[in-house]
Amino acid sequence: MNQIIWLVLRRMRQPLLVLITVYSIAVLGMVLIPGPEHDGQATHMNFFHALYFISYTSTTIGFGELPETFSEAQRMWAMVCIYMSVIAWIYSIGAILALIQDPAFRQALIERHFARSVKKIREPFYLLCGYGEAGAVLVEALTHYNIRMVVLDKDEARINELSLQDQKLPVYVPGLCADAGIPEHLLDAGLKHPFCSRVIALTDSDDTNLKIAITSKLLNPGLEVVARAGTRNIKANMASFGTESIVDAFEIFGETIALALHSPDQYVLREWLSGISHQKFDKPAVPPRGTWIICGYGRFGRYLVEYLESEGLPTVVIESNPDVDPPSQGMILGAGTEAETLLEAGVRDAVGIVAGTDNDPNNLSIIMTAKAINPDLFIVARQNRVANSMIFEALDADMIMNPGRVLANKIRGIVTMPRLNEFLETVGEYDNEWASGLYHRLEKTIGTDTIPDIWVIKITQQASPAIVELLSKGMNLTLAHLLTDPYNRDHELKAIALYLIREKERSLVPANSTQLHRDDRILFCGSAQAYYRMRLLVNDYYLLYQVVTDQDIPRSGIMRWITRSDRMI
Amino acid sequence: MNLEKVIFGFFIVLALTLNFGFFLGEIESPVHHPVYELFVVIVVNLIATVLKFGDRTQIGAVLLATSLVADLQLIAAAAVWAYAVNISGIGLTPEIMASIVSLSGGALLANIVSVILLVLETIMLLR
Repeated sequence: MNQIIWLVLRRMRQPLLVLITVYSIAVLGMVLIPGPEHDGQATHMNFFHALYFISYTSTTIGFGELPETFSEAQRMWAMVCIYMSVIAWIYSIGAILALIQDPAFRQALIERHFARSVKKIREPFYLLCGYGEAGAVLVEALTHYNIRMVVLDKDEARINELSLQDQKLPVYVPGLCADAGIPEHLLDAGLKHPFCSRVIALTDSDDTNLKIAITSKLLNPGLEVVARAGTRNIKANMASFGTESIVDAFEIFGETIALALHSPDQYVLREWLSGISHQKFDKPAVPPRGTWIICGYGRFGRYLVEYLESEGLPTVVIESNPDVDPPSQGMILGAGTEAETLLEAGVRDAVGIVAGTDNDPNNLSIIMTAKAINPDLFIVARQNRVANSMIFEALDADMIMNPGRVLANKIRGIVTMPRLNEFLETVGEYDNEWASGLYHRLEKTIGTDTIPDIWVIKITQQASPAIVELLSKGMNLTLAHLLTDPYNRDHELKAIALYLIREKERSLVPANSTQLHRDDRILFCGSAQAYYRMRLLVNDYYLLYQVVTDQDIPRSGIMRWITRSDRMI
Repeated sequence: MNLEKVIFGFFIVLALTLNFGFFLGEIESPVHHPVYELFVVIVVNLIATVLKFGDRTQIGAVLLATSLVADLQLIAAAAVWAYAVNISGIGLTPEIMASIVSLSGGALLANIVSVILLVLETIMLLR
């Protein structure tokens, strides 16, 4: 605010000085020059009239010769005044217009507008640095949960994209074109804002992400920081000062493939639970075991080779750049887009191929060629740009890895469903059989055609008053009660309790006979209807009472008195 | 030597001296307080004000404030003058003249403060 006033004042100094000088000369002249004669005596204009005349003349309004007809001498001076003052005005107005169009001034205005709209936010919000592929997907996903966000990006084109996108988003997302690596910009974007609850560093540069993470941790230690890291070094560095979540698209995808290889059912379970609710779910193809061909030995290729080898699968690497550090088993030089190289790599006998270069057309070409030679290949395609989705879908690949989407999905999980994330991590410690059993149970009770709703029931006065009241009356409540359909007590809701958190205790898929305690947190998955009804149930005392006692209770006090059922409540 | 500083100091001091010149004299007598002098004082004060624009230091802000006070007082004096002569037609009675001169006296004080600040700033630079 201040900055803008000062900028205007400083820029207007010259024009104002010119105006004051011109006005004073004109007024003084008008007063000094003799007017028409009265009784042989020349009259003079006084200052008031002179200022009046100059005011309407210089602004080109021109009322005429007031208050009296001028003398010839006055007319001559009036001419001088007109040219002088009109030029002065044109110059001043020009200076104002130039100031308004000045890029520095506009930037100051934009920054002020941004800082103001951030300051005005009165609900928890996230600060996102970097509106690239992952950032854009993430903003779209999180705003759907009505999470407010503030965006910083160095690239003006991306910020423009955000403001175009703005109309489609359910909540307003202020964005500023600024380098997030500079602490001042982070502060402008609300780093120390009392409602800022998370910083997400998703810029393209590891250095900047590191800087953002460390700045956030130093300036506002209470903030949770999610950061993207490209290498293990940066990852370790970020972890050393307590960055809560560090994400790397390639590593996440490598882990996913490894998981799919060694426990396919766990992989399917994970995919089903972490999708976007209500979307159709196609059971993902499970990668086969055998020799894999990896095209492109960059960061992505390295992770894949590492994870595939940790599963005991042989890999053949194709890379076009002879300068890269080759893997232990050597590599085949070539782009992989032509049949020759692929045949040399043994595409006929391989079970899967990964087109993992950082060039989308090349990846597409690799897959088309490989498919023509060996149609049974399991195909993993790396899609670098979200904009190319249409062609990649047409490709009919078994797995598509888009770094932006992978990152956005991961962060969405961390941010919106931290309990589910915890659950999935715990599930990872169990074997495939266990996951398979759970998946079949889920398939039977809920149905796995669509992605389920995931929700948490907290047993606190605020979140579920009905449960707390019944518990405080000494009644026994079990999970089975919560899973009863309140409108049809013979039926169960299409939901399953996945995870129970009780103080330090964690139980996976607790039995329905589990007793509920105060301050428990229970993670459920189920149909949208089940979610809705369970929410009703935990808030409605009578409904829950009826479920627990399996009796109908009148809601009206008089009716309860008449039916003598009030003693029970 | 900095030409900008010369111009800056010149106008601030000139505003004070002219103001003092107008203020000097018998308070009720129009003869002692010519209208031209008031005109020049106003113009010089306005120029001094504009010269102070854009200085973001603390002392710059106070300097600007004193100048704005002086402008306000002087313009009020001029308005009283114009009202008495042109609008109501009372003319320059002793009461009117006294009020014009005392308004300019207020402006004089503000200008004195302004010059003191200027001197202080210069001394601070010397240390």
